[in-house]
Amino acid sequence: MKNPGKYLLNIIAAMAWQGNVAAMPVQMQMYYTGTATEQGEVAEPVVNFLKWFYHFIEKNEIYHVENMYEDGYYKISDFYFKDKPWPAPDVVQGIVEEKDEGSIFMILYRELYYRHIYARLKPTLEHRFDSYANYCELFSYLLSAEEPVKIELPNKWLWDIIEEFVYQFQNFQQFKSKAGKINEEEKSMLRDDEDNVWKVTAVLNILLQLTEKCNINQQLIAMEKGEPITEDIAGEFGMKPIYTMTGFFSLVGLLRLYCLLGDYHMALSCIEHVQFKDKDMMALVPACQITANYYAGFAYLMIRKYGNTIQLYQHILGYMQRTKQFFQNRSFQADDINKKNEQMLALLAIASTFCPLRLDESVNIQIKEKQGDKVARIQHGDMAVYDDLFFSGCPKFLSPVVSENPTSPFGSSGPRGLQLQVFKAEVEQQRLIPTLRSFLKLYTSIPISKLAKFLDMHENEVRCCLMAFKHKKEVAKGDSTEQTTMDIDFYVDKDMVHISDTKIARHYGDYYVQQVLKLKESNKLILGAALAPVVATNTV
Amino acid sequence: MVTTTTIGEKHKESQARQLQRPKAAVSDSIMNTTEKSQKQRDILLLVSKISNLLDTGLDNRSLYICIRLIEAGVHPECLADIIKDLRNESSSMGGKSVSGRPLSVRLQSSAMVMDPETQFEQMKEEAFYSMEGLGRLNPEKLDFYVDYLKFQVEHGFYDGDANLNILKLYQFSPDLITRSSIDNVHLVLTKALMQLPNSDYVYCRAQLSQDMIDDNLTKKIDDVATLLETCQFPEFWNVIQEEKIFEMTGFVEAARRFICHVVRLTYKNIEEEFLMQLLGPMEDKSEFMDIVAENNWDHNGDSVFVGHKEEMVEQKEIIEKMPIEVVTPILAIR
Repeated sequence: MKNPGKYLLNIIAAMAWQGNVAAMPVQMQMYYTGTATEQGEVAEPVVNFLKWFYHFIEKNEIYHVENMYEDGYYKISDFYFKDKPWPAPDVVQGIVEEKDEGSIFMILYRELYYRHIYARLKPTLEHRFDSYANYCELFSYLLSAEEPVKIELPNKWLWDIIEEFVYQFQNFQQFKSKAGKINEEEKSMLRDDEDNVWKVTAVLNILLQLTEKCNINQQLIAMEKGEPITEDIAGEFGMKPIYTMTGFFSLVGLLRLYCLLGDYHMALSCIEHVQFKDKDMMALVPACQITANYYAGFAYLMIRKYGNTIQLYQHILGYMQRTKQFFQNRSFQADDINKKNEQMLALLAIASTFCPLRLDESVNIQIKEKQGDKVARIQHGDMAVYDDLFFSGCPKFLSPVVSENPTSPFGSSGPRGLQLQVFKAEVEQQRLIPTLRSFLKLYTSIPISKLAKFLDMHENEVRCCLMAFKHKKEVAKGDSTEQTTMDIDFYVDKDMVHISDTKIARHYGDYYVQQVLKLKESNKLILGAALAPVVATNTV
Repeated sequence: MVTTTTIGEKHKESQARQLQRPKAAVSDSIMNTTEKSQKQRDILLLVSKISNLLDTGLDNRSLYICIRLIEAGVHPECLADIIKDLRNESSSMGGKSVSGRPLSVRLQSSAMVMDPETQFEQMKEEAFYSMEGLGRLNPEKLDFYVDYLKFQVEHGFYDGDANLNILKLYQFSPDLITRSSIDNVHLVLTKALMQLPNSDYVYCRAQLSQDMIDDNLTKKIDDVATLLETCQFPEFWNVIQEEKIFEMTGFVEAARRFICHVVRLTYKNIEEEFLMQLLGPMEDKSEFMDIVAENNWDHNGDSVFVGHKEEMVEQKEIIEKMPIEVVTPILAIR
């Protein structure tokens, strides 16, 4: 929601419906300007916000809930709680006069409350434990219901819940792995923990159950086939958007979690049926789309299917550039999104050196801007750059088990070091290929003996090298459908290498489209100017 | 796999309509389940529902074994008697069965007179069920997966998903790691290596802990993987002589399969002598001729014709294509 005016109107409309018109304007003014009188500890606008929020959630008015969540919550957070937590849950319980502290409103409020602490402050161990307990309560509210729950929540919020759940788990594992920084009291708390708070299997279990509750994979398969979603496929729960969407988002959550654990096989099998185009469920929440593309692309990079990585990243980076304006209005997301953008550019730089595909002009420019010097260094054979690029692009890997004992199974380098080793093995295997490629580029046919002289290698070594080139090229292609490779192709006939001669016509399409859009824009302006007086005379 | 094939077809249809559409399906060998077993699962599901209604107290695994036994010609009534006997026996032991193993396992051992093919199918089924959802991480199943792995090694079958899961269990529950664990790791890695050019080896490699990587034999396997990946086949044949693990059933065949795959990608005609060098030591020329025949290659004097490749290097121009569907929304015309 961009303008507060529209939001105001919504609230006004809702209040009018409530028969509250008289009370409205002053309240709304205070809500936005923040010149409120203090009522107890909580500022009145906040009290009003909470009351309305409570009201709309209780009445299940998703439209207003969505507005208040996507707009009001962040505005108030920015204004009143920039560096302090929202009012404690029991205070809020008093404000909205809710009797049951286990009601869904209270669970959801606590979700926001802890999330705010994680985002703006430093969570204590107690916060971590309580937040976990609250998530368990929230998910069991959904999962152990005998029949589908009545409440609906905005998609954005559902995504944020899953995302935050995985994030807090990740954060907890990192916290535990820094054994030096944990004080004695916290250590004993961790030892006494019998509920296995933030245990990796528990987290996986919850996400898996959420995907199974709504048969999300069956639903996705049916969608792929273009069949309607019936109760036979989705089940009673799967017919409700709240279950379907949490299920779908959980798939993305699992994708992320498996990637962090280095299990690329499970990561990719999670998204076996997920469509990455701009339609369908993926496009409902942009943040989800970006996360899904980032992790899927990373998994493909690790298993050396660079073609797939490039296709995914190229697409999503283009999308992010087009929608930049939209995200920049939301400072809290912009940082995260910019970071993902840079990570993907770094990974894309890696992928495109291993598998030179033709990139979109706009994406190409971005790579040159951000990683240009590194790409140049790679071309000069500087292998250390791969480490740099990998570290700036990779996610924060986790180990499934964190022990207090310093001799962890991951050695000194940690899970990140282990994944780097896997990646470096590939870099090492690809070492000779760029040189070979640059020689082949110069010829349409060349005898192996001549090539061996250039490369200062034995002839049979060159033969092996040529085969390795072909093998790597074939793997890198992956399952991507993109065919416009810029790479050379060749075959060997006894002791002669024949190389393709590929010419690439200039890309006019992008330029053309831009010009069309410009023309449209100016056309609109001119038309607008031309029409204005006509309207004016008509009214006179 | 029934689902991926249909997706694949659908995929081709829609390719024309959508320019960009990454395919998320992973079609590696690691994912394969046959159409047949899908059908079997459906049947089993039905039977298990009936069984639950009748309250027979049999779990899915036991049911599956019973079905197989009946299919193999065992008289159903006799089978029912045996199950009753086994139950009585275990209840007289105070609820615990003699060997401490569940009914299904004991039934299975009574049905052990099966050919390896059937036995593999059965173990595969069991692995499939036990890896559903979070069952994957159940440490109690580790022994089964290890047995399964050894069975695969011995008889030359492969189930990458289950093997990978062994590594995963080690990763999730380090207290399961014993002295002999590293041997299992070696077997998993070597088995995965035999699946080249598929990605199984990388999947497994990414799940190892530092200790496992530092092990000497693991390093050796990793070196062999590098030799294969960089196509240094003559060297590869030398190195694998040094370790016993590479004598595994089917290893040489798997390596040759991969080598032939790469040769097919690269060559139009290949010198006979060089090809023989690539394919490693052989007993006599007829073995070589068999491989050539198997791949449908032609033997001409001192070279082997692999396949036509000319179109691969034809002069081509890449011209940007812009389908009308992409342009219409921009121009706002219909």
